Amino acid sequence: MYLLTLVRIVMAILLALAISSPASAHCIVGNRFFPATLIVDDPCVNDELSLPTIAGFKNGDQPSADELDISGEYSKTITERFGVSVGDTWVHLHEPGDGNHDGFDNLETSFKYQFIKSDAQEFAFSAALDVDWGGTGSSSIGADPFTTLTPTVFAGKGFGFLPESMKFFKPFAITAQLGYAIPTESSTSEFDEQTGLVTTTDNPQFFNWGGSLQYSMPYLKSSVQDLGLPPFLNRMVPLVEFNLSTQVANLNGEERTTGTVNPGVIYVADKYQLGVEAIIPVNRASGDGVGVIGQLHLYLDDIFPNSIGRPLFASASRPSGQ
Amino acid sequence: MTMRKFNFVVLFLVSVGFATTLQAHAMLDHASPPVGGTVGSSPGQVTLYFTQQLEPKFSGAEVRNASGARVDKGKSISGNVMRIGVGAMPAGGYTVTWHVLSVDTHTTQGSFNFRVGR
Repeated sequence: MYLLTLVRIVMAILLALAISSPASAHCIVGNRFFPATLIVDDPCVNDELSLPTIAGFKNGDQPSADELDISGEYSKTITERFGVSVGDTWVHLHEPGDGNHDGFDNLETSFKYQFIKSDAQEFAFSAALDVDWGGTGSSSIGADPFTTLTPTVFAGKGFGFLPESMKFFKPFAITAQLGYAIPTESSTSEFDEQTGLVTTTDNPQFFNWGGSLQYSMPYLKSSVQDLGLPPFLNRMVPLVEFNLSTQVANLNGEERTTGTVNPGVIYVADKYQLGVEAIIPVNRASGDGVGVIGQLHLYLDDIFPNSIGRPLFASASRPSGQ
Repeated sequence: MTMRKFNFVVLFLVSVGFATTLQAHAMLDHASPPVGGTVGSSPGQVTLYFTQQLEPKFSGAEVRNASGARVDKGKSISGNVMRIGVGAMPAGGYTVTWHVLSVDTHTTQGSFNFRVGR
């Protein structure tokens, strides 16, 4: 425990004091700005902090429990193309007939590399290894005792390629996220104190698939047509996200596909964004009724451009002047 | 929150507190002629208004007509405003392509169209 604490302290100091050369950018690809979406990840590596993300919903248990999640995630660029992130979620459950349970979920980390960022095509592509560290969360809220590795790819594409006759469709963009979750243990055994029996549950492998469809009002104003709308509206990005998981191997007999669809809006300011979305389960195993999620997201590369907002290691290139 | 997580968060936030707060990315706020707009006659210059101060040496723009020929004739930058001379512009469609470096060293770029004449 003390070793882990020491590692966290050293990591915090290194991340906070890191000072190096030139600037990174958040997910700006040519004319296109992909905001940090709340449910799925954007296709870039960034210096950013999501704190807090708060979600309230009825989960997929039988009977359904009221769940409140409060989470945070810190993302740091190591180079302009490679970044790491670490996050965790505090979970509060109110289960009918079983009272309240709360605690932290497993620690999550991600190691992400940006392969493509094409300004002309408004296209970005990256890949990551996400790690959910088993045993670091609380068993009282059902945190997995095993580690799960999830190789994931991310892509984003703007519709700026459309002809002028379709110019009001140009602000549209899509993002996609595809991953394969592999538990490091194929099954989990639990001892039931009441029956004295040991029960074994298979840990399935999942195909995770999600994405977003978004309409950028900032893009409309700065690249298509300035309609003279109020500044507040010009900073809005209405969107719909979806995030689903499908069991594909080592099935455990439960519903194979679960997930949510999340319509909402993101307000994009210069140095932060605010997002709020509905949480609509795709079936009963995914939840009961409509929940809500909100997030404050800070652009650290804009807030602290000369310190923690820069990659630890970066080239000193600058554009040529004209 | 456990004590170790609390320590991590506090240490991180305190460390962050020592960092300097400067500017953000320079994005195009508005332009004259307006983005996607139409002006009745040659505007004489194209003016771009950005959300942040610019580094003049590393910022610029070009204006091309419908056939792709450049019609811009120099630029001047003051603060967050870039002015591009264009001379007399015949009626037609034009494309402005810009790239800027904000004073905090973030680069951004973009483009938009406008029309001259009805």
